[in-house]
Amino acid sequence: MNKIVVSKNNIKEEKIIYLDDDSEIYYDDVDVCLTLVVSKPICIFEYIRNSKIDISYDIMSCVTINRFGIDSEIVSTFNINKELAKVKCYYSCFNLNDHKYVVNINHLKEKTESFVLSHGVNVSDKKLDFLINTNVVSDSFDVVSNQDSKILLLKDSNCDIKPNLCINNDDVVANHSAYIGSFNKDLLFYLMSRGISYDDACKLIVKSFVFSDMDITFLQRGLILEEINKYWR
Amino acid sequence: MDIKIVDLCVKVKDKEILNNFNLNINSGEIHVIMGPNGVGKSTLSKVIMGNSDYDVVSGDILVNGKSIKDLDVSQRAKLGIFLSFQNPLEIEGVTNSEFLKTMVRDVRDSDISLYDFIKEVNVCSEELEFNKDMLHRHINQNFSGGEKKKNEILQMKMLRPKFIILDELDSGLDVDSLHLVCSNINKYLEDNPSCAVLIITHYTRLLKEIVPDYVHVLKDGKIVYTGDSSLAEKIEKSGYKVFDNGTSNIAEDTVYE
Ligand SMILES: Nc1ncnc2c1ncn2[C@@H]1O[C@H](COP(=O)(O)OP(=O)(O)OP(=O)(O)O)[C@@H](O)[C@H]1O
Ligand SMILES: [Mg+2]
Repeated sequence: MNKIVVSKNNIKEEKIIYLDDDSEIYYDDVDVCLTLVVSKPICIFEYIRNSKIDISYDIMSCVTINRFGIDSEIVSTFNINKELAKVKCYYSCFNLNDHKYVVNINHLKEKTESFVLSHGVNVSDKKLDFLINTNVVSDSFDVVSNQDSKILLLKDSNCDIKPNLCINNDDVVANHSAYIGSFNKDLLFYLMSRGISYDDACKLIVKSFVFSDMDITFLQRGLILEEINKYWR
Repeated sequence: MDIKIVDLCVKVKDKEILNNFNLNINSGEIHVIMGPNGVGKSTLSKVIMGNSDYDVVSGDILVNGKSIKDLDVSQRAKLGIFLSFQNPLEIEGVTNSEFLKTMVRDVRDSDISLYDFIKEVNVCSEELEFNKDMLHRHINQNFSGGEKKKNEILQMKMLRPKFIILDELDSGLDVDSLHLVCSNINKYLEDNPSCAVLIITHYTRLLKEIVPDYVHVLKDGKIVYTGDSSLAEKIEKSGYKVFDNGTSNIAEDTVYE
């Protein structure tokens, strides 16, 4: 497992990083612009705290990205550059200030696939916006592209999800779903009917929301749990 | 636990579902409610559990003589009311075992040691022939219909309730699983003879496993007829039409052969 720490006193000169192994990348309190090149099937864990980052991925294989953000502004571009290449990106975040999360998914070759799941917990009354842009160029046949975006509101706030699908080929399967709202009442009822208190039920729902289908290690899960535990004892 | 439902009127989105509904379930008794689809059986179960989607317009629910109207859902569960859902929910990202651990901790109001918890869950799972892998999977996610129902009863066993509501437990369970799950419930009732039970079902096969004391027919928002377990068989044969004009039609010869 590669471990890369991108912090203020550790910003590398080279802004292109080649990844051929499972990697953990930590962004802590930085403002950076990076290109990451993936040419082998790997799994990446990204932990992004109080940062402003612009990451571009050149994807020539199958990559899974499990991304967790705390109060960060992120622009992330996936250039899917090789036939049969695939990207799955699970993103969860806790948001406290006005922030945007922008994802550009560019299907530049045929038979490529993408699945982008974005789950934001908006802790404050500030504005969290998701802009998820799917772009399939005209000679990319047989592409599958799915995006699923949700924002969970803990307070009244005015958040926005904008899914944009720009598909220039007929032979494409593309889906998107978006939801913004508070705790699901049916889930709360189910959990509380087991004697689980309102607060604990909310915490379980937040965990469910944040971890969803992420494929992460026990330690990585622990890091995210630390953040959840700040809000729910 | 004694449960007394008095003149209960319930609306959902301005539609009246229960209308002056009355039912007494004494400690140790097993009651069954049958009735056509959409008549309000699940609604009744959710109202007892305290679901706030349903408006209790008037009436009351008393547990051991005390109103539970002001208790929220988890407080009712802590009191000992358990509802096995007709359609258990799926929750991704949280394992079944974490779910069970949270409920046991919250209900017993004390931190159970991990060792004791695992021991207890393992025993309960084995008794239900519930594969231990299922404990590490996300709550009900991609569980089969029958596995979800087994999971409900696993939760029941861990929570040790005093009043059990089974909403269509039999849907999704195959013959052998139904028998197994019911013998678990019967064993629990043997060990806890004061536990009261309310069964909601459309079929008699469940009632052959858990033999009821009373069978009620729910129509037009209230109980229109009460009998013993033979009533269920009559309903299975003749349907609910005989209850169409109040109870006057249920002459012995129409229903009873
Ligand atoms: N949350 C809700 N919002 C709107 N209508 C509801 C809601 N819950 C129940 N209803 C309606 O109330 C009526 C009673 O529903 P309920 O689920 O209690 O029926 P049931 O007797 O359990 O039926 P079944 O035998 O099919 O399970 C139905 O017409 C249903 O559509
Ligand atoms: Mg029902």
